[in-house]
Amino acid sequence: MISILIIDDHPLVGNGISTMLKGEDYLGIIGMCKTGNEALTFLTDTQPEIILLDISLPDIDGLELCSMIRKNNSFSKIIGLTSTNEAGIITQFLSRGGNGYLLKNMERAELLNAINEVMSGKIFLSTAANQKILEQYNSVNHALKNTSVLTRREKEILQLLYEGLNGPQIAGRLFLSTYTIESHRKNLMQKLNVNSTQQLLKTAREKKLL
Amino acid sequence: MSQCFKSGYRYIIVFFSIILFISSALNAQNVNEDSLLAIIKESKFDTARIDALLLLANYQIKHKRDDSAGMKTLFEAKALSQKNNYQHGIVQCLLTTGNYFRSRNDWTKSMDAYNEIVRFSPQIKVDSLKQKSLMMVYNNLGGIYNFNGDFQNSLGYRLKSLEIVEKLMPENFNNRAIIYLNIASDYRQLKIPLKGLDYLNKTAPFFDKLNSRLKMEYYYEYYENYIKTDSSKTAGEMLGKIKEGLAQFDLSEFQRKDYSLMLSKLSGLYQLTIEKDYDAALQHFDAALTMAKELESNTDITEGLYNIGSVYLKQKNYPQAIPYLQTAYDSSVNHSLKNQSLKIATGLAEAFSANGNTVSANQYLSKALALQNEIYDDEKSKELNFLEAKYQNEKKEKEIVDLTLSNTEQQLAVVKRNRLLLFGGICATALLIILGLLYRSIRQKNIIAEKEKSLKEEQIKFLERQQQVVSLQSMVNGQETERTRIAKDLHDGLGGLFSTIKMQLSTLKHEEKSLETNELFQKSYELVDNASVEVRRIAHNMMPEVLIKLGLMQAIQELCNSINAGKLMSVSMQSYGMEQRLNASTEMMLFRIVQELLNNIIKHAYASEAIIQFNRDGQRLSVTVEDNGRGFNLADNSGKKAGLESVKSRVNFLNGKFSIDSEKEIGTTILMDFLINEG
Repeated sequence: MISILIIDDHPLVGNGISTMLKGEDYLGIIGMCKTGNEALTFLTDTQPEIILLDISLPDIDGLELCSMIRKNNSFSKIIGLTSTNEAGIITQFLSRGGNGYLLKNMERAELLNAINEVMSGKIFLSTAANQKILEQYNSVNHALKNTSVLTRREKEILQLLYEGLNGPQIAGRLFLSTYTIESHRKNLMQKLNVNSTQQLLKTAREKKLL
Repeated sequence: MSQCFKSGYRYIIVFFSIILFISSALNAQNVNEDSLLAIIKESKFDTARIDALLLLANYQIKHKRDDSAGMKTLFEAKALSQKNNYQHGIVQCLLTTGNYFRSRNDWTKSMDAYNEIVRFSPQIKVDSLKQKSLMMVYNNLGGIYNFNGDFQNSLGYRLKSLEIVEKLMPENFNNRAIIYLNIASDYRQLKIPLKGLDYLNKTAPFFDKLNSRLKMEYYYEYYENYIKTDSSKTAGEMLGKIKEGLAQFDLSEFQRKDYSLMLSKLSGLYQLTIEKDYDAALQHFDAALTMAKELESNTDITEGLYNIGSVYLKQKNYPQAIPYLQTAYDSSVNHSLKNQSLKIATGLAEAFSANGNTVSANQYLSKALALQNEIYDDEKSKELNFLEAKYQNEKKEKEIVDLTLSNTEQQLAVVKRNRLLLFGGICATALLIILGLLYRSIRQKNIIAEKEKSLKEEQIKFLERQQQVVSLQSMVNGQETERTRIAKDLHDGLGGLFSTIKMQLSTLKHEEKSLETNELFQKSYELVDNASVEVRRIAHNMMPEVLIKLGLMQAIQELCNSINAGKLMSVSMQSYGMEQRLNASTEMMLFRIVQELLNNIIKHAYASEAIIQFNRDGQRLSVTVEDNGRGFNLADNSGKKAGLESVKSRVNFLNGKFSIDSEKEIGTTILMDFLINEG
């Protein structure tokens, strides 16, 4: 029998899951904890094979709890069971030792599938979570490929600095305040990691930004 | 409230410190950057270096317009002054700082600097320096209140300043005259012009000794006060005085032009409203317009055009009035002069309706209405900004009073103890032991009492500060807290319920295979699914969990992801120096700001690309949001503005600076700068 621990502060969710698992005799729920601390106590002398972990708990942050469990326990498979579908949270959860990520509005089949997959040593992501990860990948990838390092305004200002204009002159030319130009210039210097306008122009030329 | 100083408002005379103080070998008139740098580098005397640094800072800020260099120099000068306990230097630095921020309309920082002088003043050893700096500070603080339309408080400060100058430097005629003039202006704007005249008359015994510019300002103030007391004839005489002054006084080229513009304007208004000689009024306004063009002052050019138009309007010469007013309107819109736009639009509506063109009249009326709302919003956010500064100022003032009070108490205690000791010395022979005992017990009591007092003071201060923090934060965070609470309720309560229902139905479907073909069941099943997704979406929009758990950067990335997934526009994010998280409420505000800006871009800009950029360097945080959309006219009152107003007020709450520039068909760049006060 595969032993399961549910950590969720919502009593109904525990009930819902046990209803779902009814009839699957190879699965057995051995405990339900409502808080992170309750779960840590439970886990001091028991090592369930599956832990279903809600990442929003009243006391300990779920991501943090995942790290804490994983520190002393490399045996249990931890599956995030939440209603939060955000790429950052999913990747954090996996990087802190989670084995799978499920959304609470899952189908019965999906839950069973997740348990089987993580038990066979794979990482399981629900379809929706998978979709989010993919969106993040595409978004970052597109930005890396297509977006230039500098904004349009920064390019203009860099060009005018290159032509030898100073702050107030650029401000006059672009109908902006000196303060705004100064801010853009500071941003440029930070982005190219330089300390002076001279170095800025030099680096910009080297990087072919001019 | 700030409406009332729009008319009849000219200069608020502030004391600019440099000219009054430094009388060393350095000549403030001919500043030469190189020679200053040489002094800073080579001089053996720190005081000379400080003076030179101050002049350099002034030069950098006022003439080179290089604010950051100027502030850096100023900072250096202050540090060096403090190191040497060079009190002239410290006061000078603070005054310059206060004046600098005042000129940038940064009231909080300006008042901070001025207040630091007040706090520092008891330590100033040279009495004349102490009094002079206090006099200047009070006058300048008054200036800030006056500019923001709070004439009552402005007057309070000016009277404080006056007390010093009358008591301690009655021979300083120019200073006295400046303060009388400012007080008169406060009284006039408080609608007590008779009092204003009283104060102006106080200069009568030494009026001849004043400098030319002050004399001209006096004529102006006299004119306004006489107009307000219905002594139009005497007011008219003042116009003559101004004309005389222009011919006789030794004025700079710019001043001459500036005052002749003023004279033409005032004379025009005088002819228009009092003498009702419209042809003469037209002549004056024509002259004013020419002068305004020469001075390249957009406000005055617009005003000139409007004034000419309004004379024609008075003459019921609509075909002449309309083109002038229309040019004036365009000019006001081009230069974002909203108050003028409003006035002109109203005039145009009147002209068109009198001319029978109701369509155009209605158009301008609705423009005027929209402008009125916009101005109201602007003024409100300005007012809010000032109120915040005022609140802080009053707080600090109270602290200063508390401090002085406790100082005096301490001094009194010392005096008391000394007397006791003296008495004890005289009667020492017999009563030494008894007195000794008595003294000890008094002292102990004193010490205990003092300890208790200081403990209490600390408690009070702590409570005050706490209250201040709480009231400010609750103002800013109230809305966000509410959102977080609702989001959590939705997420945990309703969301959990829906998830459970779906789990049960899913089990039911598994157990009763026949249900899979039951249409009604399938429909309900789908609906429950939709509902749970919807609840999650709403909660997420209200408060993304990722923002709380992982911070601003990941939350913005997530925002970009979902926009990019929609394929309508691609957004990318860049961040520099953002490794450390900001405090939660700042992150929340910044998230809302970016979210709102992106919403605006999607709704209005028709952009294919946008960039969000965060640059943090120490305390400075700069956020840029740029798109390549169709751009818009900044003066235009489209729906876009509505979105921007709420962004601006959020930026204001964070004490940030907001700047926007937009080019038609090229795109819009928004730059926001914040000062982050945390680790």
